[in-house]
Amino acid sequence: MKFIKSIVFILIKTACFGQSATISLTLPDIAYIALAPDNSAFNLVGTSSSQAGGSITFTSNTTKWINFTSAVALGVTRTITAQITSGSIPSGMTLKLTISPVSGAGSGTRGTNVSTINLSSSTQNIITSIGGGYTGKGSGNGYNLTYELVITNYSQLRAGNTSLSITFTII
Amino acid sequence: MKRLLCLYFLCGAAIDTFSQCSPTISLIGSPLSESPTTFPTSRIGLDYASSELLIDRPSLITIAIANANSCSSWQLSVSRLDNTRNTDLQFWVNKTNDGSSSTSGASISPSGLTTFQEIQTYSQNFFSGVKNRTSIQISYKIIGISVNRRASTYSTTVYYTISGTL
Repeated sequence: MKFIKSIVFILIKTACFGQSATISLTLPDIAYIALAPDNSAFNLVGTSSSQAGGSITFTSNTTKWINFTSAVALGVTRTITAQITSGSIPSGMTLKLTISPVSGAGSGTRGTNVSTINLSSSTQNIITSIGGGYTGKGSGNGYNLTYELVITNYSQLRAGNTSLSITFTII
Repeated sequence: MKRLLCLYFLCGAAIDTFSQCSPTISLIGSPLSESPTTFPTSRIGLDYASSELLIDRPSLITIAIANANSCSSWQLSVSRLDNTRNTDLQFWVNKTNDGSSSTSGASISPSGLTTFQEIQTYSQNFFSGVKNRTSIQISYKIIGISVNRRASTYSTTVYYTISGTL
């Protein structure tokens, strides 16, 4: 009887044969940065007081946002730097750049901002520890930038116009 | 004694039939090395436009049975074994056509284009059929593509196993 059972087992057993295919997916490093809404120029205009002895005040600009997309390998982080790459700040003044914390529709590891720097021709870190992530696109997404001119020495002020270029780099 | 002799011949016949029902599978189109298209600058601030990558180079499966009448049917199963840590990446496969067969009585089920099914780390039925079939076209897609995912190469090996039923 046991013999019969084993025959039945052989009858329903199936033969197997296999093949395999390897699929590889490579996700590349990505490091893209843009200014929103655009990288057009803007003016910081000084206005003198209507009162004799009053201070000069400058308009500030908060219209620019840093957008980026970043993909990194294991253990890698990125930094965004800011630097004046053409022109120079008039004597007696400082150009302050304030970076607000990230906001908007992004996702991932979007880094940590420094609060305020005085812009110069040297590169300075403004956002660090960026991993894989994206900020969202357009104004209202990413890191908002505030530019302010501050008078540090009235005796050095001269009337005139000055143009500067500021370059942001993601590395 | 007569009974034993009868069982002996019955067993021999069964083993003989079994040895002929050995469907084999051949696969053309591997390995597949894929990458998303270059990230467009128009998407700065955004993720990839799609989390899915459709691999548009089909692979072809051919199923051959030495003696087509020796098997009543065959079943093809699919599974995968990851070569890298592929957490949250999904690999999917579908059959895009039935290939062809010149053998009388051949069939395949389900027929035609099938919906994508996720390839799991355990064996799952893919499709089945009767008798020989040539150049069944299959395609893959990968889900889970994002800049949030570590930049790296991810790899998996997809295993196809065919079994025949006497």
